[in-house]
Amino acid sequence: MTSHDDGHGELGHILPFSVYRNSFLALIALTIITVLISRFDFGSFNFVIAMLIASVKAGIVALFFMHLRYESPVIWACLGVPVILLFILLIGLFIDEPFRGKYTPAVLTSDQPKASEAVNTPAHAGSHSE
Amino acid sequence: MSHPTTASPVARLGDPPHVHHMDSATAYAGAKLGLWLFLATEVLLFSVLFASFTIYRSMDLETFHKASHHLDWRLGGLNTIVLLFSSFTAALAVDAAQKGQQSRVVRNLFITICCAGIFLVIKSIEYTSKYHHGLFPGGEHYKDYKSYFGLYYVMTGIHGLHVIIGMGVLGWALLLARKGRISERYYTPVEMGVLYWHLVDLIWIYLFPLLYLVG
Repeated sequence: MTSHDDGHGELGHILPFSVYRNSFLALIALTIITVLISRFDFGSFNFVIAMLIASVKAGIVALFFMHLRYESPVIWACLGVPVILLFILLIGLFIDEPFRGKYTPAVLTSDQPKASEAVNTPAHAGSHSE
Repeated sequence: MSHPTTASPVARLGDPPHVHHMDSATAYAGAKLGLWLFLATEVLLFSVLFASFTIYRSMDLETFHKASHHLDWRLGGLNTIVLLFSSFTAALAVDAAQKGQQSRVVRNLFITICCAGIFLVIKSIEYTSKYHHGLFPGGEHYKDYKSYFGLYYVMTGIHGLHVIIGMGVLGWALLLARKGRISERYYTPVEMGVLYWHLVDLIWIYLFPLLYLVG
């Protein structure tokens, strides 16, 4: 069996302990920050901020704990493609859902202004945010 | 032996297993690609659940806010710390394997599995408390928050199932390491199990703020 000696350990990159330790400490700090920010009311921004901080934490876990930073582009695509698909799904949902039930055939073929004819299904009784 | 062999070194404990038609480095790269492809399917699975939660939440924000107050963010936060620490020790287990430090591999994998167990204990405390508050499916208050809790139980339930499976996978890697079958030349089982475990942690990193904090 051939051994591939790239000087860094035969199979993969060996990271210094400080990378793991600092990543862990950063993750803990970001968790505390997330909890603290959620105590304040920023309206619909709470959701966005929480998801952004979560994405930073996810990035730290993926890049350093999972060694993604040192992997080939093919491996990057394994994480990247599903994320892109998720965004497409979300975009599709949020383009579609707000207009559900509003434009019925009766509304579209009548002379009435469309807004006042909006049909409210029970699912839409709650408030729309975002 | 009837066929000429290149002088093969004496097989040592901790050698990569013989795989047909490829050398061990290719087998390792293949295993890693295969696992990352699997992780991609896991991301797709949870993406659908996250998308469902997001859209249902936007349709009925008030119910979701009220329902999320029934969750204890301190228990959720504690679980987050536990899983983050377990990811840390899991990464250290791979680091130890890369350096051929068997006892350190065993120790870190063991701590990771214990953390997983702690996570499940805290989760079951949460589920039990939900049951006693009538928030379990069929409970008296459940119907007020059906859209939220339906997703809550499915998402945390499937995640919890992944934690249990992760304990099994890491336990198997632990047994291999204890037998001395893991070395700096071959640590594929450890790294693949740990990569899977990192994904379990990744999912919880999103689940915690989504379910507990933002509501």
